[in-house]
Amino acid sequence: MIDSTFDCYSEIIPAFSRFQESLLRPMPVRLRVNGLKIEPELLVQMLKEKGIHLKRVTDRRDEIFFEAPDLRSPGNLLEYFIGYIHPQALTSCLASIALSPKPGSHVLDMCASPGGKTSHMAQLMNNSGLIVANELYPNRHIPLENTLSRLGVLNSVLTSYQAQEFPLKQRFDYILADVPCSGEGRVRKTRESPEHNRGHIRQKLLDLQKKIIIRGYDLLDDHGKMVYATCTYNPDENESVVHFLLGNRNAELLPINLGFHYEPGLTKWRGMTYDKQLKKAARFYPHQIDSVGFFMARIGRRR
Amino acid sequence: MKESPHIIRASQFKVWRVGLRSFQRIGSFIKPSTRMIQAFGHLASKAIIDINGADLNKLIAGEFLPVKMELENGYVILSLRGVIPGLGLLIDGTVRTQIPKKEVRLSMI
Ligand SMILES: C[S@@+](CC[C@H](N)C(=O)[O-])C[C@H]1O[C@@H](n2cnc3c(N)ncnc32)[C@H](O)[C@@H]1O
Repeated sequence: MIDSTFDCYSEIIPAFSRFQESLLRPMPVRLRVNGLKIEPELLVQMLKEKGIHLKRVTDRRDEIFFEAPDLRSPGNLLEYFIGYIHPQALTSCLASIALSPKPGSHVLDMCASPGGKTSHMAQLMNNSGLIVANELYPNRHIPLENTLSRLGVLNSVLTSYQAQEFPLKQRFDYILADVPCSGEGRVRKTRESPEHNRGHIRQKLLDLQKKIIIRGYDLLDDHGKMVYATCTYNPDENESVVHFLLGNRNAELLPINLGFHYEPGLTKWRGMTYDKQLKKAARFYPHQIDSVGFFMARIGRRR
Repeated sequence: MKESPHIIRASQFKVWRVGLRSFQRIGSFIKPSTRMIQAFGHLASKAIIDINGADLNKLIAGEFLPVKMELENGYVILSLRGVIPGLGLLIDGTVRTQIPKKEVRLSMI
């Protein structure tokens, strides 16, 4: 049954009925191959011998990311335990690719647990440089540590600050602000409802997102790049937050070229007008990319 | 190592974990961690025991396996066709697994 949970977005989500239908389908199982430990072709071969066939997600950005149609629980594979694979949503993977930290650089992951994106960035950096992986809540430290150690991440230190008050002691080349959000993009009708009901997003969460984006920007090196990301459709948590940054700092939005379809960010929503640069942000919808609904903006300092 | 610019930068923060935990002290022994062995075991040139899937199954089920190789008692690296799931402990010609039970299940093999 298609319900009305997201009706409030019918004007902003293209092909809305297809979007609604896509929520009735289960999320596909997708895997990132951990290049820090194994060559993708070798892993594909190993799983093939077990009768598990991996399918490339696209022909373009495909060297590490696969779909596993006949696999239900990737966490039950020996290859998972050994850290050869990490089950991850495609859109979540794209956030680290949008940031693409260079080997040897200094990276801050402001909200890191359970570490999917931290470990992917370590992979992109070939385990060099430094990633400060920050996670406020102690009960979220265990999954973060487990992910990083299972995947053989060596270039990280773990901290536990409030992201919005992360010490301004030094600046970073790359910053990921994958902020806490209402999680609407994770909802498929086979799963439970998101934490917060639309329209009732707690003001506290919106304020937190604004504080985190500002602190992230202030921690960015002059030539640095930041990605602000959420897994929600709600413009109040997305465009509105980035608009707030653009209004308060000399920031600019940078183009996002990933080779996957996305819709541009909004410049208007419910009587609000956002900075025109927001067209450069990316909205990912499940009916277009068959993954978690996602928002990201790539941010630099205006020079 | 301490002079590395990355370490100098990282030391400015209150850090609760650095990199990958590699060793653990157990009584008077120093035990390599499973994760460290999984990451670096392939670089070892000795104390490696080749096993097959059936052997790994038995080890995980708690069985001891006889080892014919001439090796000293102590930790050994288990290698399943070059894939390293973790450590074993060799005592007087038999090996038992040191792979954490809660993380590896029979269904995985
Ligand atoms: C969207 S999740 C991050 C997912 C992670 N980046 C990944 O890819 O695996 C947001 C995380 O931020 C943490 N968090 C919430 N409030 C925070 C705060 N004020 N400072 C730092 N982390 C916070 C949450 O506990 C949660 O683990």
